[in-house]
Amino acid sequence: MKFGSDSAAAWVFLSPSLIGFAVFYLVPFGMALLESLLNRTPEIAYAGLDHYRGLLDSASFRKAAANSLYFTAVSVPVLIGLSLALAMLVNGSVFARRWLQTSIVLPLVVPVASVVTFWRVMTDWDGGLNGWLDKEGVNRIDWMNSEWSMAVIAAIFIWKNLGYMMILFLAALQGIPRSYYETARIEGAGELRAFARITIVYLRPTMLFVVLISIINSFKVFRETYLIAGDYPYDRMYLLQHYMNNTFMSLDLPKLSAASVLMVGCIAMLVSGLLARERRFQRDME
Amino acid sequence: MRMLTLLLSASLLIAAVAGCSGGTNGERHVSSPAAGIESPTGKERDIPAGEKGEPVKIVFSAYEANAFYEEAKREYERLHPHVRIELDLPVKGQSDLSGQLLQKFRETTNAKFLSGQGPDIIEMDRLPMDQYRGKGLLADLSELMSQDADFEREQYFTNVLEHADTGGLYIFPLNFSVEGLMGDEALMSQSGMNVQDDTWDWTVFEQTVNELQRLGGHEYGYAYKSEESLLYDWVQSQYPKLVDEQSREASFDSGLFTGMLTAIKEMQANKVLAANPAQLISGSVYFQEVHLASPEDYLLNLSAVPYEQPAFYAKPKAQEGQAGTYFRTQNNLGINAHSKVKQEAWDFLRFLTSRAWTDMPKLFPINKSVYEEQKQTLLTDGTVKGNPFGRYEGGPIPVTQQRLEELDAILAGAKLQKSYLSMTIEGILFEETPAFFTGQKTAEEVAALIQNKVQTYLNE
Repeated sequence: MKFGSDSAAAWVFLSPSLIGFAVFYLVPFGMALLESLLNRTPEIAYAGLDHYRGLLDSASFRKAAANSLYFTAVSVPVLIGLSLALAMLVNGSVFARRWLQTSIVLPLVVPVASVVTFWRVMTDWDGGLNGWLDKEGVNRIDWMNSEWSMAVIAAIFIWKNLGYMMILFLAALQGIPRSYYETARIEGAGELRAFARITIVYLRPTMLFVVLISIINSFKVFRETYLIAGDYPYDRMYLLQHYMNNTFMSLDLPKLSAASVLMVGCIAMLVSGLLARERRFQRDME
Repeated sequence: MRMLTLLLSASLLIAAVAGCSGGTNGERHVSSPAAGIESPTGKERDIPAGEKGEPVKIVFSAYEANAFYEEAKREYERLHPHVRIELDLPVKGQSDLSGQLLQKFRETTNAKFLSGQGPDIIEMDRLPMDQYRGKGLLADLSELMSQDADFEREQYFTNVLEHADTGGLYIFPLNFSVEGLMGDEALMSQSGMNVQDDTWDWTVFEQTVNELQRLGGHEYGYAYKSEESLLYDWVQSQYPKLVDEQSREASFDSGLFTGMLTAIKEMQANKVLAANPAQLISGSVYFQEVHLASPEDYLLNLSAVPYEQPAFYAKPKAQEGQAGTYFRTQNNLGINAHSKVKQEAWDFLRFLTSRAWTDMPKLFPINKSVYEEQKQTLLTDGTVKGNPFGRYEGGPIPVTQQRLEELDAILAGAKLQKSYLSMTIEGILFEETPAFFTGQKTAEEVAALIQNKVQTYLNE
């Protein structure tokens, strides 16, 4: 490697960010990795893969992992579909466009805690929704203590993230040259054909980014669930972070570290899989 | 690429160094060979200095700063100049409405224990007993007791000690209180019913009350605070059957729990149970719940209930086959299993139980001789100032030998411990059961929900 060249300058400029990343993410993660291989009681001793085996044995961990995956698999496609549809709608309409955009993005900036109060009031056993059901003469549903809880949390998740994804799609949509659509119309292609062959294709890079961000945000949904349902929610909503939060509360640090290492590992595999597919697609495109 | 590998290996090295440095024990406790020393006279024992003549240090930790801990420390240090006791009592009379002080205490104590720097003696009242016992953080006190030649079991309330813990004795309670019922004995003997309060369970109780109601007299059988607190009471008495902490299994969906729920509802309907305080004051209840914490308490409670001839009855057992009176312990002290000064810590613990300190909580002491002293003082005083609401209307209540002997019998029958519920499970119970008692959900639904959540907690 030649010093005094471009790459040296690049490293110098990158170093603050890299050092920050190392100190706040890489090093703590390394410590967590080490922690997960130890036993702290009765004395500090090497425990090998005991904690990982224990995790896979724990019914609660398996439940949490299954719930997290299920939630992501269900809510992310719905979010992407809805936000794409909204983006196309807003793109086409001229009426009150700015106002529409602002109002859809607004949920993102509202603090979670204040929103959660509203949702709690609505979904509580003695809450707003049940009050309305009672008036209609229908049996009450314990929203957060039944399978409906996932629907409620998915609704909150989609409502919150719709704006952000919509803006991303909107920007990408506006980047597609109009001439393509005109050419397609001239050649006699229908709406659907135009959508599939032009829009989707040119949205692919944005789509990758949106999928990644949505997956990551779907893991963050723990915040809302915890504020509404507490430490031990109904089975369906018991997510990985609940497991980790509770393990932290009982100060079982090695188990907690093992769980987080596993989770990072899975997410890393998922993300690298997505990126690899994208790279292959890019190569095909060129 | 080489730069990247260099950077990665550097950060991993840093991680390794950082991870390993947290393991060393900061404080060094000097242990002394105190075992096998013959005690010259009485209860005090000579603690020799450490091998190098250094003082022996005992760390004592409790949530609240009780004044008697400080008094005991001064006294003990005066008698044993080689011993230094360090008191770690974070909360000094502050109120903790938000629960944050308690949370902080729990977390710091947990962290200390996990890093091997836990205190030598710890008051377990506010800490999760099941987790500490499960992780082997507390020493088995029965071993220390049997090794100690000076420990005279008969000096203590052995019935309480034997039942204070499950599977070995990991905590030593300093005090305890007794729970039971005050009943209208006049009506009881009038009806000619033979009340077997030592062994009766709630079914028999219900039958007895129904019989008494039939014969006329009071309207209700038993006054209680709320359905949830009664249910909590029952769960506490049956805790080992509902939650098996060893195998981490919960059985709330069994008939036992749903039976409890429906039984409470049924008893409410039969007027066996009354939740209205008005009935309590007007005296139209056969039995009321009492907690006895001292001999004065016993006399005060006898005078406070609106019966002409009150008597103490043991509470109905939560399940048939149990016998005795329910008790609850307080100031439960445990010794750190990894303490290097276990013998010295045990000696200080015994010292704490050996006399009545000035500011002790007003409860029955675990040491029988201290209790006998309390009784003597009362007898010499002759009277106790009455409760303004009771029959004596604030006037003096006479202390009689007969009453004190009754109390002796009650304390001798204290054999049933009210288990400490895990705080998580307690929270889950109080959250989910109101829906059943207001009639919105069925017992099976509520039991299934609770079972689910508790099992999730146990599976973690």
